[in-house]
Amino acid sequence: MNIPYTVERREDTGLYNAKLGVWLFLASEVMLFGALFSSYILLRVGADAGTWPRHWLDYKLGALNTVILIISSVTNVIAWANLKLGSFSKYRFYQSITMVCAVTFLGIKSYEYYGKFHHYTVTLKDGRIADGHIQLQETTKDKLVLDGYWPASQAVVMDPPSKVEESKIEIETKDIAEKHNYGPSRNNFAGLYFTMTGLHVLHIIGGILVIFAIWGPLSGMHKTDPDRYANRVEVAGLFWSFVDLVWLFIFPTFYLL
Amino acid sequence: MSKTSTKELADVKKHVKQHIMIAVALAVGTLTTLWTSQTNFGSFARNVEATLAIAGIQGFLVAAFFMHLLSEKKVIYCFLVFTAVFFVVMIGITFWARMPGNVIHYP
Repeated sequence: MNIPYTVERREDTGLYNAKLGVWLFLASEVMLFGALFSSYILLRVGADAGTWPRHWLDYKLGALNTVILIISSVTNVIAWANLKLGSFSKYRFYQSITMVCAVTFLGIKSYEYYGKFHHYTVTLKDGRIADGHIQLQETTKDKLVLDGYWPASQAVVMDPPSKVEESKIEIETKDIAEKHNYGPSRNNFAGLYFTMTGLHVLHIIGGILVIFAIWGPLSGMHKTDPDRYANRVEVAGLFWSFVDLVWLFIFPTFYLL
Repeated sequence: MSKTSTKELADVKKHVKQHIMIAVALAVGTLTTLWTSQTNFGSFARNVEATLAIAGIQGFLVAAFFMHLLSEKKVIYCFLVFTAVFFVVMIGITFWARMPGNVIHYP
C-alpha cells in the first residue's frame, strides 16, 4: 500500500502530509510547554517576597547552551538546504555538526544537574546554616564535608551574593537538624526547573535520535526516493527549531529573572 | 532532487545566507538579554518585560526564518491562530484564578 502525499502536495492544504502532521504536533507542544510556563507564572507571582530563589543557576552555562542550540539550528537548516541542492555529503557534514551541538548541550546540562544534586543546604541544631557542594570522598557516615560557606539566613540561601568565599566545612552528622540538596523536591523553583528543563532534554534526546536515524540508518532512501527523504529532513528540522525556540524562553525565565 | 524546481534551488541558496544572519542576530539577542538582566531598569517588572521582549523577538526570528513560517500555507497559519487563542486563554485563566475572590488568591 502506498502512503499518499509523502512528496506531492494535497490540493486542499497545499502541503505534504508529514509537514501538516508535524505542525499539528508542534501546536500541541506549544500547549504543553505553555501549561508549564503558566504554572511558573502562577507560582512565581504568588511567592512571598524573599522566598523565590534567585541566582541559583549559572547564567554563563545557560548562555553557552543557548548559543550552542542556535548554532545547531543553523547547521540543521543549512544541511537541509544542501540536500535540496543535491549535495548529500555536505548535508551529512552539517547535520553531524547539529548532532555534536546537541550532545554538547546535553553534556553541559548533565554537568548542571550533577552540581544541583550535590549541592546541599544544611541546617545545624544550633541554628547555623551551611551551604555548599558535598565532598563525597571525604564524607563519611559520621561526618559531612562541604565545599561552601555559612549564609547568615535562609534569605541569603534564596538569593546568594554573586561572589562567595568558599571553604571546606566539616559537620558532625549528629549536629545536623536537616539537610536538603538542590534537587527537584527542594522548592517550587527547583521542581519547575527540573520539570521544564527535563522535558526539554527529553525533546533534545528525541530530536537527536530522529536526526541520527535519518542521517544514518535511513539514509538509503536518499537514493531510492530523494524528495521524500528531503521532506523527512525538513520535518525533523522543524521539530529541532521548535526545541531551540522553547529554550530561548526557558533560559531567561530560569537563569536570569 | 528531480522535483525541486530551479526557482526553489535559487531560494534555498538565498536562504542559507539569511539563516546565518539570523543566527548572528540570535546570538546578539542572547548577549543583550544577559545585559538587560544585569541592568537596573527601575523595577523588577521592567526587567522582566525587557528580558521577555527580547526572548519574544528571538522566538519570532526562529519561527519566521528557521521554521519558514513567513512563507507557509494558510492552513498552518489557521492552526497557529487557534493555538495562540487557546494559549492566551490558558494564560488568562492563570491570571483570572489569582484575582481576589477567585479560585487561588494569595493575600
